[in-house]
Amino acid sequence: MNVYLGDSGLAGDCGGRREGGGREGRKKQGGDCKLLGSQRMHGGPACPSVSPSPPSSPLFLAKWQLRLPSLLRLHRGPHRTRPPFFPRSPILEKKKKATPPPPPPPPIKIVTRARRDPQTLPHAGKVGTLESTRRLKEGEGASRMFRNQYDTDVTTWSPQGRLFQVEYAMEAVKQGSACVGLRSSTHAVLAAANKPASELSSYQRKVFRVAEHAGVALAGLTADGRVLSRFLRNECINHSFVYEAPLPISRLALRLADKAQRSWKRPYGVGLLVAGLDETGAHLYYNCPSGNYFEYQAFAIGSRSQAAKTFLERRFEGYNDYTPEQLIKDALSAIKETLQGEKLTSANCTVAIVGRKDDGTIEPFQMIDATRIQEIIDSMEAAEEAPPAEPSSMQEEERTSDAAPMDI
Amino acid sequence: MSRRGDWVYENNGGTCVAIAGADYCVVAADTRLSVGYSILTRDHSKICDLADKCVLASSGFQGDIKALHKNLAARELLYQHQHNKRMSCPAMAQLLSNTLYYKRFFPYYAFNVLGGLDSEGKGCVFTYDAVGSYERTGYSAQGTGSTLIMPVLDNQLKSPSPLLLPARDAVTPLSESEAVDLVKDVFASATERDIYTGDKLEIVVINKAGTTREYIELRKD
Repeated sequence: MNVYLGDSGLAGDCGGRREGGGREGRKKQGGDCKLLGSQRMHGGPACPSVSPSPPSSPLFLAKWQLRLPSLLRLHRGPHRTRPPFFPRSPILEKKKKATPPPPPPPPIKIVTRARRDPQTLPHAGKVGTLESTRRLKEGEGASRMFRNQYDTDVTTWSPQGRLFQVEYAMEAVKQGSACVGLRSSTHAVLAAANKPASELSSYQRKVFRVAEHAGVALAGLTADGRVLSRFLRNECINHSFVYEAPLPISRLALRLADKAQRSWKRPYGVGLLVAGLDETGAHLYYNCPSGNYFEYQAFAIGSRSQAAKTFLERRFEGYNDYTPEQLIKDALSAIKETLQGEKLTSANCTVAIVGRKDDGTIEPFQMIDATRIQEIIDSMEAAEEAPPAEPSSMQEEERTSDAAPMDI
Repeated sequence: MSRRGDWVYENNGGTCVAIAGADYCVVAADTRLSVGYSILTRDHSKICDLADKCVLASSGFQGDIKALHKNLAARELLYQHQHNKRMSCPAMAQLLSNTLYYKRFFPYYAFNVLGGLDSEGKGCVFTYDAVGSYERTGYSAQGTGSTLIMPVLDNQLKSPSPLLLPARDAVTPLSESEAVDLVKDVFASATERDIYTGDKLEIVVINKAGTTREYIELRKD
């Protein structure tokens, strides 16, 4: 028997890592192959080294069964979990028939927490690969994504018709801190929760002015978001240079979505809430890393955004008639929902507004001053503590026409 | 006068003047647009507000002037996005110079005067030729009436030469209203003798409080 080819006739060196294997796989299967270092041989082609005992000896079988770490593991019989790459030699096949096939390996224990319904998992109906699981940290509950052989490249489809890299990019959005957007027929408001990365650092800027009439709030990889903001700014400037008119928001969202269609680049790992004012009124769009975009009356993205979305779902129907003040209050309340108990102050949120005032003049996109935000928060809290009053009775003075300067 | 077959420019006439004060700047231009011996319109502004403390007045070929103003306005917006503040007048002055020289071999037919407040709040005026050579002065006039106006300003404002040492402030000691009156007088005189200057005078005053605009009637012949 050719020790290099092994029984199965499969040539080549140690097959390397098990499909979808990772650290867990290695641990479960015992130590690394000392000869080949980190490359494990999980029943792959034969290891090109001399076996201490011939493959057919009962001693070898016993060892293999007990899974003691050994210098090498020779493959016996057909690979249980992966189809063979090379055609088998008929001579070797005959030899194999004499010996009984080895028993299947004991199933790998998977430690589970909240288990999602398998049908909804990305690889429901998977091809027969042995998968290990990799728990992703997520803001809302533990959930699992299976790694598989279709997720390495953004240009690879899975048999179920999914592009996993794009879906993973959308996961990145869920890792960012929360952003909220809402609009009435004349005004659009964006708000973001400011979460510093550490106690020593300051928070990342999440709300960017893109043009006088539009701005974006982003969640996810803020570096990608900055690049996209710069792109959007250029697009707006070029459009108004050529057409002497502001770029309509739907077309702005479209340009952004088109940018996601570059097949040679990794997807942008940032979700953008694009808010602005054009001839047809105020608009709010959400742009996914996938290139999809939708128009919304109100939306929230980022970690713990579900709480904000629930809040907005209860109230969005009246938004078209809201005054700018009311919109800002609702945006702040939605951000408060995402903070989950932490006190809302002007230091941990950013709010920006754009719109057309009653007299027809444009209120350009700008961040609202921190002191003004604090006033609004205080009035909201005062209203909560006070006995239930009509929303109109606690109406403050309308936003003064001297809009707050842009906050840095 | 016969022009070359490939002459792509035309001179639409007009005059621009700017005077810098200790804490203000006056930029003025007439509003007549002409071609040859005809008037195209009596109501065309040659002044462009580039930044809150920076105003550009240009005379020459209006097609190039419009394009130049748009170009600079777009660049200023980009600057605003990147630096989170508006462009200062000296920065804009350099940008304008670079933009003009960029087209050294197919120039903008524009004679520019840039006026505003510098970062310290003092008035500044920058004067240009068609290809971007510029200088900070206390006052300047450009355009068809400049040869009539400049000697009068020299006489009245006595700007020290930049070659004199020690370097002295180029700004005039006149007050704001005196400077505006001077500009009105100077334009009235230029209108008398220059056919391309007249109709209306647009005066923009930039100071700490902001920008104000004023329109004065001039002779319409």
